[in-house]
Order: sequence, then structure tokens, then C-alpha cells
Amino acid sequence: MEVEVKKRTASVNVVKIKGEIDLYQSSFLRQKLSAYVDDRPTHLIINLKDVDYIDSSGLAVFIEAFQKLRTKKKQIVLCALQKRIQEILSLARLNEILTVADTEQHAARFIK
Amino acid sequence: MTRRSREYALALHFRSDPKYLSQVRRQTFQLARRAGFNQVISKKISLAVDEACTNIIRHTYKGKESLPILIRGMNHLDRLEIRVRDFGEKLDLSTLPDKPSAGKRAGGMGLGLMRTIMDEIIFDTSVAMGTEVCLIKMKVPKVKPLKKVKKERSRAKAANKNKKSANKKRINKAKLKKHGSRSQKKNSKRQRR
Repeated sequence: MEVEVKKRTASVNVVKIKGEIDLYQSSFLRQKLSAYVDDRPTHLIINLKDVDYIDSSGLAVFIEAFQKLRTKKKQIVLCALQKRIQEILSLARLNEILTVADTEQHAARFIK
Repeated sequence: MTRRSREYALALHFRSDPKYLSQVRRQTFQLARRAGFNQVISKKISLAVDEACTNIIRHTYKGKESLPILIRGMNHLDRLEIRVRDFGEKLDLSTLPDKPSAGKRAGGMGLGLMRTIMDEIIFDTSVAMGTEVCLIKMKVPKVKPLKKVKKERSRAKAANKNKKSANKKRINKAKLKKHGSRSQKKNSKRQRR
């Protein structure tokens, strides 16, 4: 799995993830995100265009980030989800909690 | 990881190292395809098996990577049965949540996903050592009770409505920012006159 972080604006970072997110990869992702969630919290746009698999341990990373950022009045928006990932998200009923956008530009509009 | 396929359609024996999970998914996906399930359902079945293994590694083995996990798949006429077995402490069935997780917590999602994907899940603690989880997927889908279908539809409708209203509000706000409100425009016209 590859994780690339780009600055969009001063307070918004875009995290691009490539590959599969399972128990083996989720700790690496958690570690990568912690810089933008724990150390210097910013709004996060998570681009999942190149992610073709995610399990509950991967989803847990996003929920943890969502809960931590919410306390710091920051937002996390998922975008460009493949159909399969959208299905997994709705199976876990996370589409009721996490904000999901079609594109990165669309995701940026959700951030206040 | 070893693979034996004499008595079973699939038999995998591997160590509880998360790096093997991708192979487990691939093998169970192929098993489901051979059993006649389409690609989408086969992927979901492999996700359910992945979740069962993940639960064993995280909760039963507490992250230890060298303990054994055994997966056996049986292709019956009417159903696909996949048994995932650990050799740790027996699972306390009273600690399992009754309902699928609503996804508000970071933990407990795996079992919820397994329950949603599979038709039946049986936890067998009568085995000599550890626990065996039996995941069953019927080849002819079970008919959902009408109440459940209606509930799901109304939930989906409500979610759609919420999304639409949120979008409308956002668009209206954006318009207001761009063009200003009508009253503001009138005021500015009057001032100009």
C-alpha cells in the first residue's frame, strides 16, 4: 500500500491511498495519518480512487481519525470511492456517519 | 501457508501473521467462484472470511503472529460452508453483540460485516481446542422478511433525503455568497438612485 499526502490549502491536506487496506496495512496507515490527526490536526480529504479493498480494520482507522478530528473541530471527507468500497461502507453503515464525495473538488466544498 | 484439498474443496493452514490475509482472500474468492457465486458475492464472501481471521488475530491471539489458523471450505449442493478455526482460548459467546454494529464505534465492525454478508454464522466451542466459526452462504438466496425489506428501503430513502437537503443548503449558501441576497441587491440599487 502507498500513502501520499499533499497540501491543498493551509488547513486542508489530501491523502491519496493506493492498494488494499487490511489488518496488515492498517497500522501503517494509522501511523501515516497520526501526523495530521494527532500532531498537527488539519482537515483531511481521503482519496480512495486506487483502493480496491478495505476491511473493518481499515474502516476503523478512518473512524478513529473522524472521532479525533471532530473533537478538534476538523473534518474528514472520503472521496472517489470505487463501487466495491462504497458497498463495504454501506454494509458497515458508515455512509451514515462519514462524509463521502464523488471527487476531490466536491470533497473540498464540504469542508467549512 | 499449506494447502490440502483431498476431503475439502479448500483447506488452508497458516500462521496468524496478517501478511497472509491477502492469500486467504484470494483462495476463498476462487472457492466461492468455483461454488457458482458471481464475482461480487464471491468478493463479499472473501471479505467475511478475512474478517473472521482478523478477529482471531486481534482478539483471540492478541496480535501474536506465529499461532495456527485453519480454514476449511466445503461446497455443498445448496450452500457454501467455510469453517475458520483457531487454537486459542475458547470464545465466550455471551460477549458477542446480538445486533450488527451500527458503525459508530471503531471496534466490533467485523462481526457486523460477517453477519450482513453471510446467511448464517455458527460459533462452535465444542471442538477440542479453540473455537470454530462456521460461515454459511446459501446458493439460493434466503428471502428476507417483508418487514426487514421495508425498514431497509425507508432507511435508504431517509438517507437520500438528508443528502439532498444538505446539498440544496450548500448550493443556496454558495449562491448567496456569490450574488448576495435579493434584499441586499435592492438596497444597493436604492442607494445608487
